[in-house]
Amino acid sequence: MIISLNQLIDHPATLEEPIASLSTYRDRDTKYLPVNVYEHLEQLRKAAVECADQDLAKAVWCLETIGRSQDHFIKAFCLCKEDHFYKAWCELEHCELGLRSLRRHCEVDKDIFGINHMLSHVPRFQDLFPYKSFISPAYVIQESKCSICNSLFGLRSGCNHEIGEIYDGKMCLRIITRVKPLEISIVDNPVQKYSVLFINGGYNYGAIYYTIQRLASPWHSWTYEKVEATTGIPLYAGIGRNNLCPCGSGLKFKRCCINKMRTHDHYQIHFEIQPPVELPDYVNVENARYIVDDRPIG
Amino acid sequence: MDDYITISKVESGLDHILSGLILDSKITETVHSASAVILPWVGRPEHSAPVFQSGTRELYRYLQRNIPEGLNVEVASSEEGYEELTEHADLWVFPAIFIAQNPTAVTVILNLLSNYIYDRIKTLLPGRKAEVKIEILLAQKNSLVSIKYKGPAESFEKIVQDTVSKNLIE
Repeated sequence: MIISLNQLIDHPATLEEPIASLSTYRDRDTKYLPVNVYEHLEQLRKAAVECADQDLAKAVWCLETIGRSQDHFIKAFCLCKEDHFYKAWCELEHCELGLRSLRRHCEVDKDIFGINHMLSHVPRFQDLFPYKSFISPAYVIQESKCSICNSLFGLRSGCNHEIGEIYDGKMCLRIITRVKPLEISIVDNPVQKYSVLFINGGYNYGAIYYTIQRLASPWHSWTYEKVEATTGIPLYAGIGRNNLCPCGSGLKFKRCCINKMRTHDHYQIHFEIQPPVELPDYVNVENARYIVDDRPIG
Repeated sequence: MDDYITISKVESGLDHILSGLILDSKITETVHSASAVILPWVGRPEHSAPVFQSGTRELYRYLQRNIPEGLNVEVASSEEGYEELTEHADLWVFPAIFIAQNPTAVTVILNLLSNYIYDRIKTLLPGRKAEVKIEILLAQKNSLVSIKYKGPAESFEKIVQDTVSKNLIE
């Protein structure tokens, strides 16, 4: 059954309180959903299961997932503000996973709880991170169990719970209990985004730093365009490919120093709410470098 | 479109593929009578035993739940020897699927696969793309036609169905 958020809001009355809490997301720039909201949701879930009301239990799961996604999104924003970029990256991944689960079970038919904002802005934030290489394992799963009933997952035997489905207000997951590791590879599109390959000297977080500094709230909208900009030494500006190279070699420019003109990705960020005036509205190549070594310890 | 598809003729049948697997007689019999058979990957250097792509169990159960009466799908594996392989990249790799010489089975299985992929596409965040990799083996009179697809998930349905319809009839 797919839950419609519109239906959820209008009905049933038992969900009124958590819905009101989730609706306050815009007031929570740096604060997470209070713990008592999750405790209340857990009570509602248990009550729904006792009454064998699977629809209500699933609705509770939807609300909890929305709350957790909001929290991960806010946390990612706060961590970026404090230069903890890798931790922020992991929070964005958690948020993405929550939103993807939600899209499987819930129709988001209007912009409530900030869901549409998170759906559009999580990929935007992720795109600004400098991570391009990841460590990823390959392994053979030899035994796994169902998170709902703990029975072994057999090909034809075992329970009928489906991975990713919601039962009693909980998502069915696969618990891997025995594996044979095969190899580790370096990839650019990992299954797990957290498996970042860290480099000595840190990464340049210039693009994400620039954007975060200009946002007062994670809920303020922004967009970006990625363009290819040319970086070059002023000496070479305006030289045609077939002109003599200004370096004095006597060769044509295209056969000599043309490769000293380099291109790089340039992000043009457009903010819905104008950034504070004390911040410059542009950065040049030199001060767009913001190197942070935030490798996880241990 | 051609960039995503590789078509080749395989001068053997399902018997030959199954002969490399250790299956008990009951499973062999069931597999032989199936409209579609999910096949393992054999020959990985670090793991010589046949192994299925991660998510095969879920795909098998999805096909079983949705396949119309009169058709059936099986997995070429015993219960005990069943293992799944998870790999590195965020590429949706599906196991190879043999489909018997039966136009209805071909249409039904391809439609179910398309729906299965579409359901996964729906969960992606806006602007994000996914890539699918799959091999479909179509039975013909004395051989098989292998259709390998590796390309955008959203193009799978159109490209594979077009390709299959052109290669279905000898």
